[in-house]
Amino acid sequence: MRICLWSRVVGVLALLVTGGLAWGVQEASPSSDPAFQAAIAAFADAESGADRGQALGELLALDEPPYHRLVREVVLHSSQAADVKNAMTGGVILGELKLSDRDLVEAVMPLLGSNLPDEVAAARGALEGVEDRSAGRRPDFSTYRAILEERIRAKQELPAPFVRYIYEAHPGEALLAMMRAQQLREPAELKEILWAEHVVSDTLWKQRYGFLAAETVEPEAADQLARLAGHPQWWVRLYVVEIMRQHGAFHQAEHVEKLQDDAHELVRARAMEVAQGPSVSAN
Amino acid sequence: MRRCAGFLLAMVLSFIAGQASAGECAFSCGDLTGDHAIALDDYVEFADCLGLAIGAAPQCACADLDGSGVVDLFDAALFMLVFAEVSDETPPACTGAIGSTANLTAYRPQHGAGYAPFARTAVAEIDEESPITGPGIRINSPGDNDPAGEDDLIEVVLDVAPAGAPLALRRSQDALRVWTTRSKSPGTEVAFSGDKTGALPIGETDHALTFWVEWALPVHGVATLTVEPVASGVVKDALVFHSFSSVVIALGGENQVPIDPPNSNLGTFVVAVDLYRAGYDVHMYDEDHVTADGSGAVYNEVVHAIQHRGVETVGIFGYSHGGGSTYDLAERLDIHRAGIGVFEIEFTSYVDSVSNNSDFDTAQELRRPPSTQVHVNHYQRGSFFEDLGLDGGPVPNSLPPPTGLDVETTPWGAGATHFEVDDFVEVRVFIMSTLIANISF
Repeated sequence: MRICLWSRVVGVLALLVTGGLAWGVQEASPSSDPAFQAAIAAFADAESGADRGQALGELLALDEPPYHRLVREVVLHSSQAADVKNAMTGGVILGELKLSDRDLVEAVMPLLGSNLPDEVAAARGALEGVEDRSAGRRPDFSTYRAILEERIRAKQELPAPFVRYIYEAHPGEALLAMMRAQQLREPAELKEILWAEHVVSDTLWKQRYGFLAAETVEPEAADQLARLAGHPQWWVRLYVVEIMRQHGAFHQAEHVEKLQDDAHELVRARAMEVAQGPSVSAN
Repeated sequence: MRRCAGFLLAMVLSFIAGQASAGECAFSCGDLTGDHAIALDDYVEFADCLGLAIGAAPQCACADLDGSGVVDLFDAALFMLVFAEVSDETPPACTGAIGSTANLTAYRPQHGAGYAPFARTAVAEIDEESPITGPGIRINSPGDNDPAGEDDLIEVVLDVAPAGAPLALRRSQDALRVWTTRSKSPGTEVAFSGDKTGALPIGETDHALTFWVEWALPVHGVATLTVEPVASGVVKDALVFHSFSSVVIALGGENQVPIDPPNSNLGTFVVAVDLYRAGYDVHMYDEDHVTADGSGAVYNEVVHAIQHRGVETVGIFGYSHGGGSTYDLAERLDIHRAGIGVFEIEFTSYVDSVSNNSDFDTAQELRRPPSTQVHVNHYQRGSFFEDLGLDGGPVPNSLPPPTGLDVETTPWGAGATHFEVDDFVEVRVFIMSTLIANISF
């Protein structure tokens, strides 16, 4: 008993002395579960290959496939990582889980609505890998489209932070993913949206490669955007304000003002941001 | 023979006459060696001339302090008055009056609103007049609007004694403009008349003045700024500016934050700070500022440098995810050349590069950055136990040839892990020396 007590005292003292000196002091996110975080730390700090393997088994035992809870805890751990080892531990664990892109997105989605910027940033950082981004091509939103379609078919509400994220990530791909998820059938409806997105994207392409100055918007692109600003679907109007937010040259004050009174909260909120501040140029 | 002797005599006489009639000395009274100080070495030179005509030796023109044509006791009296002091006068107008001292100190470039993440770093005295390691400066053309505020001017502090000494600046080229405010507020330019200013606005009780130097022409070059008395051309101190034709980007590993001074665990930023102090325009970033498609703040900075600051050369180096971001940034720059302008990625480097498609990507980055002229690659072989299996790997056409260096094949790198491979001095020195060999300022 006495030995047990003293060993605890020594352990606490050791932690107090060394905790501040450890290479990369890891602090837990307030949203995280201590049991998961301790297991992740044990995996990162394992002192032998066998220990690491055992730690991984114990970590997996805290959850069950498809490991959504575990994935979130891993992302939270990475959001507070103070050194390279802890920052990269998350990727190693996720690699061991061999998750589908779908499962990763479903797991991470709730973190997009966190009040903590580090957690939101970590979640966004995880999603970039699903999108297979490269400078030479548009991101792949096929996984997002599938998730959106399933929820729309089930008449479930779409998570606002997730929708906001995909429009920020690439407004054109988000518009097309939403269009396809909505299961529109009339060619005229589809073509109206496809054509507008194509014309706007074409102007952005010309700006990107120097065929147009960054502040020049071709009249047809401006017209198409103006038409979409009055579209009956909120997810189309959201595309309009997001384009105006990311590419200041497309700003049309008259439509921004109207959209500040939009029926949909996401559109309203974004329109107000556009009205208040200089737009981000993302090309 | 007679004609030859006559010719030689004419040569000698014209030499003496030339010396006698010149009586010109570019240095201040008593400073016979031109090192901006009046000390024993000057005394030795003076003593060698005492009793001689000014044409007897080259330095004797400077020893004739009163312009009498000979170096005599009258000159000695004047010399003793200024010995171990300073003079603002030049021969033959020496009166023995004590002059002012002035010292210019330039600082390395700012970033955004200040110097962070670098520390405010003075250019060392020994480097001030070097066109290579001296103060580098960004071209600041009209239309160059820096999003975080004007940060292209170089801070210079002028220390003077006595307080309020009447001093002026002289420039060797009109590319240099001088302001008393960092942001070039209206009315704060220090005007040059020709290439010399009037008296600098040094308060009567002030021993220092801070001003900001701008390179205002869209042409690269080297230019000198000197400080001298208003009434004479005695150079008190000088700075040699070189304009930056390159930009260097340093990208750390996941969750490594740029800082100066960096601790020894941040090898990438140790190299970055060393290059900054050596005179390069270096920018350190968290690798998260390069997204998976290469876009972001780093891309914007490089494009801005090319389009508005005359930058023609880019260097990028990174560790771990910073290596993956090195690839992504180079790829985006290369793909968008038509819209950016003319530039060359002269140098890139990976240290244990890990693909950075997301914060959770752990794959090796084995692709050579597109269009780079020279690529350096260092890596180790990861193990699940020691470093979670994280590692880079061979990259085609890299230095050391042919695919880079597996540091674990060296005595100094045996047993290296992913978490320390960027910290080896051998790795850092190789990166730095190869960059310097391939990128001029």
